[in-house]
Amino acid sequence: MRLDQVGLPGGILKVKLIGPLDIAGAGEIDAPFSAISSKNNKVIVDFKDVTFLASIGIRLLVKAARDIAKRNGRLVVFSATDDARKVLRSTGIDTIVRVVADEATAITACG
Amino acid sequence: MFWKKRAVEGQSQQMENSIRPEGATVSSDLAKMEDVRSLPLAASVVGAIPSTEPKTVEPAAAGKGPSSTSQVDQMLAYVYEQTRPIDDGALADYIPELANVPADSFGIAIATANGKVHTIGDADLKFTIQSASKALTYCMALELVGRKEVLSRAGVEPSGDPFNAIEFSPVTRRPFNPMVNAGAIAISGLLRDILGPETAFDLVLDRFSRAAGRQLTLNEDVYRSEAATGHRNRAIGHLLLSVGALNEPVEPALDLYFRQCSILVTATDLARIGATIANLGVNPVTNEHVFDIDAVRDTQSVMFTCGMYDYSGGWAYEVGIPAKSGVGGGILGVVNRQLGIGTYSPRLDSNGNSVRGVASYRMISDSLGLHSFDLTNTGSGFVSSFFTSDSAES
Repeated sequence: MRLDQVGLPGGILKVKLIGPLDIAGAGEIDAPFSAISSKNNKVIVDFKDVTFLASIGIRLLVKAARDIAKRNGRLVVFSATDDARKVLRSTGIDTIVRVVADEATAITACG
Repeated sequence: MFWKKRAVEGQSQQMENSIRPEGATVSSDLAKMEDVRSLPLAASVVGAIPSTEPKTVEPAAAGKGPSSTSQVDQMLAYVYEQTRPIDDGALADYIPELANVPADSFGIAIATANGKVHTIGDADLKFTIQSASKALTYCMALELVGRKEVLSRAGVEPSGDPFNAIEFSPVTRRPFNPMVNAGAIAISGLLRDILGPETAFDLVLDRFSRAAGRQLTLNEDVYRSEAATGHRNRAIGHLLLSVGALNEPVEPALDLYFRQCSILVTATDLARIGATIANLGVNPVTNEHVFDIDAVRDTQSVMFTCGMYDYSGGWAYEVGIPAKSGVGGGILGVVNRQLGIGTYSPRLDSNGNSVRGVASYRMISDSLGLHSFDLTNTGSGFVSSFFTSDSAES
């Protein structure tokens, strides 16, 4: 799994995840994603190219969102595929992590 | 036979009349025996080259070969690849015949509650079911005589002792639970009493076969090896007799226990049996009602708390699903209403659990969010529907 990051105006960090967020993928981005969540209070995560979402990947996402929320920050997921949205909805994760349709909405929700 | 036949018909008939719940009859089991003989026998796979490519079998195409690689197959391939290099542990040797298996064999199978099966590796290699049989005989006993009588023979508390401990609860003077040898022998004695010493094993084999969806068979060599060397289990049997948890004669009960442990299964069979339990006792492929719906719930509860020998607490902590392991190298897992899982790798850790099997289950549980308390498990569907008005008001 690949993780790209780019800073946006307003102190927002955009993280793009590419590939399957399965056991292997979660293992690959665990350290960099933890580093991001420990240093940034406004994070938007582009899920457009997340091709598979396993439970362990969801745990990583929720953990990061909780870390950021403890500092009154926010992590927002956007552009998730239909399959990923379905998983997030059926597992109730969309009540813990904010999931929105696109980047513009994510930026607004994060600000 | 390694025991002397003794007349117990009168005794078993008496128990049959007094404690069998309405609707549970020996005759129905006997009738089913006729049907099970028509189930297909799996081809012997001894010496077959194991598949390291994942396979998916659809319910309608069972036995017809692989289909396209799914996300589940990809996950299985990854788990297999990561756990296959583990060569820790040792073969069980306290039953001499158990040491005569290929040490490096390894297979994983997942069966869904709608009949689909995903496998990788030596998932069709036969091995003896050993202690995984304890969960199934317990389920049968619950159905045949009900909770009260079963609980009078064995409790449901984790023991914290090795599987072959010769120790009972000091309070109840009964085995701690039916997943250790003492409890399982008490349950086998109960089945022997209810089903009759001559037919009990055939009925047990029949039920296991129906759960797996194919005719299973006995490994005679392992059975003879177990029967010839099972002195510790004999000691347990006589101790059970002394506290009233087992009726005389002891040997036929032990014989049933040795035989049930020597039934040959594959990882795929374990997965299919698990799927039958997960599917409320109905085999998802044959649609046969194999186990009673209440018994299935009670069995899963005991598997969850006591199914992995001395590692049961650690298993609940790390994997978090009902399971039962056997010293033959198999682990039977159940995800209620959803999946059955079977793994086979004969190298065991110091607790008697398959090393690769445990490692595989940890990864599969993490990947699919199977742990009972995983953040993706939202619990009872009733809570959201019963508390709808609370949500609306808040």
